[in-house]
This record gives sequence, structure tokens and C-alpha cells, in this order.
Amino acid sequence: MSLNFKEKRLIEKAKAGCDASFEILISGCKTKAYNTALRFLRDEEDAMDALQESLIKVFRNLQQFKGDCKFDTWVYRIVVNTCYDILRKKRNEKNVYSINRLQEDEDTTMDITDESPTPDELLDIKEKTNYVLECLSMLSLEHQEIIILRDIQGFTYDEISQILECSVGTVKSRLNRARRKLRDKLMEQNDYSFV
Amino acid sequence: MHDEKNIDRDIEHIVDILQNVPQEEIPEHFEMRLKNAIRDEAKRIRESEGLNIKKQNKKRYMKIAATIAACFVVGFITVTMYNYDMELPYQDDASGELSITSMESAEQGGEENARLYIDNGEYDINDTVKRELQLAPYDITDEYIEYERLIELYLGEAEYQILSYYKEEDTEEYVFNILITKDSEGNTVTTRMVLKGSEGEIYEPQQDKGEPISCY
Repeated sequence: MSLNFKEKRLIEKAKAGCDASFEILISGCKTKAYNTALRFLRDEEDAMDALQESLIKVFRNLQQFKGDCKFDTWVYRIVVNTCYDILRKKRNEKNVYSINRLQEDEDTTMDITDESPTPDELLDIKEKTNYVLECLSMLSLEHQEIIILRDIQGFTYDEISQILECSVGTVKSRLNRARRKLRDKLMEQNDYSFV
Repeated sequence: MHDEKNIDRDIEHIVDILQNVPQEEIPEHFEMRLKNAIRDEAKRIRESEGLNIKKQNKKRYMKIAATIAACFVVGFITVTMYNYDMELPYQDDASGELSITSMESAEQGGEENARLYIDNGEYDINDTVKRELQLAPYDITDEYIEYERLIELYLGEAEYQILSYYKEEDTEEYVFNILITKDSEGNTVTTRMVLKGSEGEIYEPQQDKGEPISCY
């Protein structure tokens, strides 16, 4: 995957400490990166922190960018890894909810207070969306990330394979499993009458 | 089968919902915060690059200075050694009785000069001898090689050094100046002698061809 000349030039200047060049470099992927973090962390403040931390890491480690993938893809990889770190930290810190780990697929079930919408309110698309996202957050990190990257953010299989550093085949099979898990979770939470 | 179809349909519906999740814009207040953070990081990178460049420049200057110093040292040693070689004097022995000739003086001088003799007296190794040993080698001819072989036979077990030799112009005899360092019994000595080579024979001039050794 070769970079275009303009991108190469910007990277060279950014490596030398030119912040203007770096801002141009990230301008194309900043919003998508923010939304990826937002879907992972489900909190605006956390997403902003994650984005800032990720972009500073990108800037600091530009020397390590070899050009073997698109620059944007490399950025998303760092964002996903940063979100992972934040989520792990949060899960270790949380004492409020009880977490039950299932041995076979590491899904977690959290006991949450009963704020789920009534069956009627579920007809509202916005609430449906929020409900789906809520159930998504109950899946394992591995399943969450694949659904966020593919179904919400719209990355291609190739891009996802580069972000997650795995094969396209693995992406597809993981996605299939994740979608089924999400469907099962929705049914479970909504007493099998969601869809 | 029916369940599988239902599952696929459900998943399609879920994916459809997910694909319509709206993209949020980055909050404005955060854009400013991010800009400042990037600017600070850029400053840090520039400072660290500057430090690296200074370090690299310092290393480079040290290398250049070391190279120049090394060149001076090598040059100084070379010149010193060269001058030391050139200044070596070649002097005759102060005693007068013993005259050591060079090729030039042998050719210039008469027979007296040519026929060196030493009364087999013992002499300490002196500067004159050392200088003689350092004289440039003469041309080695086949004839010379043969006479050298004869000298070896003549002197037997003794250890010696051929200090110099020349060919007399008038007689065409070879004259060899020899320093004996050990006699045939293994005793350390410092004795000088002259041997002459003529018509394939070696002899001591005093003996007037007493017991020559022939190469033919």
C-alpha cells in the first residue's frame, strides 16, 4: 500500500515537528476516529480523552509508521488499541456491577438497573438504536469492536483486517459470530421479542 | 431451516439499525483542546530533534578533530623517522689502523686501501661496525653467491657476517670484509678479517693464497 506524494511529504514534515502538517494529515480521519472511540466507550468525555491520547501517540510515533498500510488505517488501529486499554482499566476499576464471565466466549453480563424501555417505546427508532447499542456494550470486547468497525463505522473487510492485524477470513467469521451474539443478547434482554 | 432464516432476517434488521447510527461531530471545545495538545507535542518533538542534531553535530566535530589529530601524529612520526635515517653519519674508525672502506673509496683508492687487513685483534662492536651493517646492499651476482658459499666452507663452524664486499678494478678480485662473531669452538668473539675471492678461490690476503677454497 503506497502513500501518495502529498501524504508522504506531510508525514516527513510532521516527523520534524510541524504541527500544521500533522493537523492536515489527521483532518480526514479525525471524525471517524472520534466516532469509533465513542461507540467503544459510550461516553463523550472518554471518547475525547481517547481520541486526544491516540492522536498524540500517532504524532509521537510517526517514525514507526512504515507505510505498509494507509495512514488513516494506522490511526484507527491506535485508536482501537487505546479504547481497549481504557475499557480494560475501567472494567478493573468498576465495583458497581457484578460481572459474570462465560468461559467459552468471555461474554460478560452486567446487572443493570431496570431502565429498559417499554415494548411500546421500542418502536421508536432512536430508542431502538440506543437499545441495540446498549446490548452491544454487553458483548465481549472482541465482538464489540468488529461490529463497531464494520456495521457502525463502515470500514471494509480489508481495512478491518489491517486495523486488527488479522486475516480477512478471521474478520468475516468473527463478524458473523458477533452478529449472532448480538441478536441473541437482544432477544434475551427483550424476552425474545425484540425483532 | 426456518429458524436459520429467522436468524438471518433478524441479523439483517439489526445491521440495518447499526448502519444508521449517526456520526457525531467532534465538540468544538474539544477541537481547541486537541489543537493545543498537538502544538505542545510538536514543540517537544522539535526540541528533542534540536538536541539530537546538536549531539550529532558535536559527535561529528569530535570525529573530525580526532582525524586531524591522528594525521598530525602520523605525519610527525613519519617525518621524524625519515630525518633520523638521513642523519646517520658514516665515519671512519678513529684508530686509523683500521680503515673501513665503502664501495666508492675502494674504487678510488689504490691497492693499499683495497687490501684491508686486520690482525685478528679483538674489537668491541662499535658504531663504525654498526654503520657498516646498515650500508645499502650491493648487487648480488652469481659470482658473489659462489664466493659466499666458499666463505662459508672456509670459515666452517664459525659464525660471521659479511660486512661489505667490492671488486677491485685492476685485479678483478672480490674483497670481503667479514666480522666473526663466534669462533669454531662456539666462543663469542669480535674479530674482523678480510677474504679475497679470485679465479674461483677464496683466500686470506696475508696468507697469499695459502689454502684457498675453490668453487670450481
